[in-house]
Amino acid sequence: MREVTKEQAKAALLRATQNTLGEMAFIDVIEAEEQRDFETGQLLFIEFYKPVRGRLLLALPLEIKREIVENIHAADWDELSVNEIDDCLLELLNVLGGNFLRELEQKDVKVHLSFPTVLFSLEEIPDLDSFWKFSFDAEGNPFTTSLALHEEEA
Amino acid sequence: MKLDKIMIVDDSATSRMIIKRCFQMAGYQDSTFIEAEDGLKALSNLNRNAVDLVVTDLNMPKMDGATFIKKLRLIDKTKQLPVLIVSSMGNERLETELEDKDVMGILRKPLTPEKVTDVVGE
Repeated sequence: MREVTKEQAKAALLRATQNTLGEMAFIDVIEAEEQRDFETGQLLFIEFYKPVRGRLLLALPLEIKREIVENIHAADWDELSVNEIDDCLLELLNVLGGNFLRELEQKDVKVHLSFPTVLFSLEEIPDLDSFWKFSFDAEGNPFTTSLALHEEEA
Repeated sequence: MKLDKIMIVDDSATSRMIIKRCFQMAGYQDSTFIEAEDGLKALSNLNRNAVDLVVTDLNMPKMDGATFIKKLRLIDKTKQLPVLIVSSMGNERLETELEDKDVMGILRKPLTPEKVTDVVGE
């Protein structure tokens, strides 16, 4: 596996996040100037196996979670079921994962992802310290994406 | 391209909704959309309903998109049926392999009305 620096990963993740949230949910994303604390409203997790192995964890505050789901569904939060909300966010992470890997490689490569899942606690990830944590800003609201890349090739 | 009936095959209801919306915004607002959440259900549905186009994801439980397309090509009724892939997993090699199966194209997610128009027309 070629060496991926933290800066390369961050740049690829920013482009992928801007594209995914912009085209799916019409939300503008920029890199956060500083890391801001927020109460997590949703934790989403996906693994990838090709072209590199790794894991991606998306932590969203309730405000962005609601905005994403309402924008994608073009409906009010109260009209949506828990299943619809979960499915919407999982699809978003699935698309984000694919976009990130293509942005990382800078070309149209074979991408292999797991099915995304909802996490109920960060404790479900025992080696969280090994993740790079990146802070982004979605129209004034902070959120984070954490990334772990693994050494061995798939 | 005239498309009275379009089948959308994707395990995510959100993705099916987005695909349907993109086709409607691309000019197919009068088309009828039939949905299936995996390849198995799609094959079963195609036994009962004739459609003009199948739009399918690749990464699905029970029967993935590539297997679904291979099976479609083994059935007389669906041998020539136009198929379009909408996925976050496509790549050039797979595209070449699937072109042999008469796939119209592979569109990357997130889908937009413009991407639909580029491949299917208005």
